[in-house]
Amino acid sequence: MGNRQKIVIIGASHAGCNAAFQLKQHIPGIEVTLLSDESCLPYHRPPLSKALVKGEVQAEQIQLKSPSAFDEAGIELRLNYSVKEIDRKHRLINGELNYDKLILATGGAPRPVRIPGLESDKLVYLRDMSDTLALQKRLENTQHITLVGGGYIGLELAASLIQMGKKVTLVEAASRILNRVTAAEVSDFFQTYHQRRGVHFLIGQQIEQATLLQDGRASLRSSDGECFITDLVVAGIGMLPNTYLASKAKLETDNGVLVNQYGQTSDHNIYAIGDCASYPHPDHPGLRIESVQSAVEQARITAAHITQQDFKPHDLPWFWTDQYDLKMKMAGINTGHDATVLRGSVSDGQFSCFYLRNGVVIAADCVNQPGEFMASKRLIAQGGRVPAEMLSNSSISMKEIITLCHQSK
Amino acid sequence: MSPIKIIDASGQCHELPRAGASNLMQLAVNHNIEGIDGECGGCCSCATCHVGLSQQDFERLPAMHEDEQALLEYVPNSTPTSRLACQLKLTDIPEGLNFNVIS
Ligand SMILES: Cc1cc2nc3c(=O)[nH]c(=O)nc-3n(C[C@H](O)[C@H](O)[C@H](O)COP(=O)(O)OP(=O)(O)OC[C@H]3O[C@@H](n4cnc5c(N)ncnc54)[C@H](O)[C@@H]3O)c2cc1C
Ligand code: FES
Repeated sequence: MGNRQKIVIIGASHAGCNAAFQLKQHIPGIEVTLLSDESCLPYHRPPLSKALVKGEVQAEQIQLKSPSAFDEAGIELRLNYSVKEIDRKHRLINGELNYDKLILATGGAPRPVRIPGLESDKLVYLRDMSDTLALQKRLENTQHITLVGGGYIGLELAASLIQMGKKVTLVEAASRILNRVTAAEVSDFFQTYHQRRGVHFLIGQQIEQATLLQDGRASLRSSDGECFITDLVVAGIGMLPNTYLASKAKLETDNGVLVNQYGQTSDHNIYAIGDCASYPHPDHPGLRIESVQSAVEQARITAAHITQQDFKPHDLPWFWTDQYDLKMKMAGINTGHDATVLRGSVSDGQFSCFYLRNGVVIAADCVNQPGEFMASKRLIAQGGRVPAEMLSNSSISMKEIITLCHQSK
Repeated sequence: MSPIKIIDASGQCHELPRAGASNLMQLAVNHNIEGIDGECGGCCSCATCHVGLSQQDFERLPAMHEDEQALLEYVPNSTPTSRLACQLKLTDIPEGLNFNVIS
């Protein structure tokens, strides 16, 4: 086999596309076929809810690679190609494509929402390019949008829609927005920021009933009995990993395709990377991270493993979100924290929230503080205890904190 | 205008024609330059597009935005003449500059 291995990748987004190029970088002679069931060239997904939906950039401007890059790298890209079946015994895809190694990079699909009385054409989701272009079109004659779900995608959309001059109601079932991902202080800050710009929040509520009106709009009733009229409902309550192919092929799955630290599934000729994979993070077993960085990192590790190259272990997880003029970047995973420390000014929208466990910083949310974010990545990776009084004191620079904390290890 | 010279993470020199991209990160990504990942798509968040220049070349580039500066302050292996490639528009890059990928 050696250099002439044939690699097939299902899914050509952040994970699949990066894996393809990395494989070619390691071994130019390797055969790589990249399959996508989408009709457009691979693209950056984060702008869908941000710059793209607002029309600030065009679809071609967010492509992952230039159109000619695939040919030039010798990658066979097949668009509009949907994989229905993996035959593990014969290492065959859809009965026609052979592989030596297969990579599943199938991502996920929006978690469905059911609202009694609401027809499917009034309820849409935002996951891919076609969703975004369809939404953009509908927004042309839409005044009021109801967003279901106060996670990052819901909030980013809220910001984009407000900036486009729309009226927005956001419904969140939990007791606060960003409930599972940030501290209450950070959630409160974002809620206030959105409220000041006109977003109406229904917190701790759900849409219980919808009635279609004669003019084509819908009247919605929330669980607290609030009734309002809307043109369109966009749901963003998380995603479900695309594990259908894997389950059908009898690979082990549990909230994602189960893989080892190299991305290998229970069949060692098949790998899974990105949003669809449940990757064994040393500190967070069973946690499936959905982020561009994680997709790219897993692609890097898997490509190195297939081509038998050395590689660096998984970097610290990080994520970003942009809303209005706010840029928040999060480093590390805050699960299991026992204290939070704020640094900077929440009222000025320039602050960081540090998450500590046993006095050690394990994660940080940095709002309009790019330097503190980069510094936090170092601080977290390095470990070591940091006194809370020091962290919260903005007159002590992050450089000093990193140095002191390094010495205290 | 002449192509842009960039030396990748393993020391190989590439000459990239100024086409098909608006900034240096995109151009490098399109040409699969080792060490330039451009994870965040150019929104000045990830620093996976870190390049270095000589002092002389550095001074010929337009000044940095404060976000770029803040990010670079803590990026591993950053030098006083480091830049983030995604923040450099191709039209702002003068002739004859040499970029080194820093990873
Ligand atoms: C609106 C939005 C905003 C986001 N913003 C951010 C952000 O700001 N920062 C961040 O870090 N992350 C963000 N994310 C998350 C990030 O985009 C994902 O983590 C990332 O795209 C995961 O990459 P992936 O390649 O694993 O999966 P995906 O990007 O989901 O790609 C999977 C691909 O596989 C294809 N596919 C699936 N099944 C098949 C099949 N059977 N045959 C052929 N092809 C198939 C799909 O069509 C898709 O193209 C955002 C996501 C969305 C939807
Ligand atoms: S591409 Fe992310 S900072 Fe340049």
